[in-house]
Amino acid sequence: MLRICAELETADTGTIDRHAAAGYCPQEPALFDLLTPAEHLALFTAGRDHAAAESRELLASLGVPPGARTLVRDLSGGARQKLSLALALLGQPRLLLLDEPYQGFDHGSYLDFWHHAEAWRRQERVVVVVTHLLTEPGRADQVLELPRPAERGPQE
Amino acid sequence: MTARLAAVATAHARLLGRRRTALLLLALLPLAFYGALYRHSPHAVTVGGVASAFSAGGAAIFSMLPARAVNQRLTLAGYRPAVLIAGRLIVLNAAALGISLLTATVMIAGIGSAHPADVVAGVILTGLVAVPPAWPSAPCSPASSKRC
Repeated sequence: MLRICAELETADTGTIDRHAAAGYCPQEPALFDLLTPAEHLALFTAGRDHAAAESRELLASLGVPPGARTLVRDLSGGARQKLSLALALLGQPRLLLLDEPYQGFDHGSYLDFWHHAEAWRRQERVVVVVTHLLTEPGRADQVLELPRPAERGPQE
Repeated sequence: MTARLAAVATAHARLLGRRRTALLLLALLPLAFYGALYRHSPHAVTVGGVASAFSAGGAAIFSMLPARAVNQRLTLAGYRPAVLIAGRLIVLNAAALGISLLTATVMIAGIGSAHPADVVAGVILTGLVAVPPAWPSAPCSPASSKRC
């Protein structure tokens, strides 16, 4: 669903009407294993003024040292996910589409993520989180439970 | 546009450069073909040239596979598919040129060709045609049928 909202896939039926710029964080961090976090930031922010400083602050706020020379393949799963999340946040998109964004996070990082999500909401950004792990549903404005494919009707 | 093209090319140059073992094997492949044949076959130069094309194609695969998923994110970040293709092609053609030059140099030293320029041109062109735009293609945005 998020890939359709991000216009990375077409829907079999129905349409998506999206007006805001979207940041998309896929479930599997789509990153280059042989680049460092800083090199990813340089690639994703190339040609945009002030984006480099923003990206460094963003990465630091998520707990990944932006100057680290560690290649992505040597990062922990949580650190990769944080980098993937930071890339989705670049450019301050109004709509955030996050697919299992805290996969691999420890409990502290999980709580940090929700603190960030609350801050994004205060900035009037829309945050859509797809997850099978929501221990605190009160943090979300709206929770939609999607049925398993076997439970769906033939026309759904 | 130029900054983004340079960023893509730099990233792919780093990715390829950090696969040192693969690069070494790709560079040695045409030399191995040539070395195995040059005393026994009049076609050693031709086979070595074709092997340099194999190596250039192999470098393209190493560059293409990890980029498939990231390309979609880069298009969301504002990259045009043409920039992603061009940035990768710059690096792949440079790699093909390097491998072909190395191969041609060893061949010329081995056979003492009376027409070294022909050998160099032939091997380089064979290597370069192995990196057509189709090789570095990977889906960028299936929704819009764009490819990069």
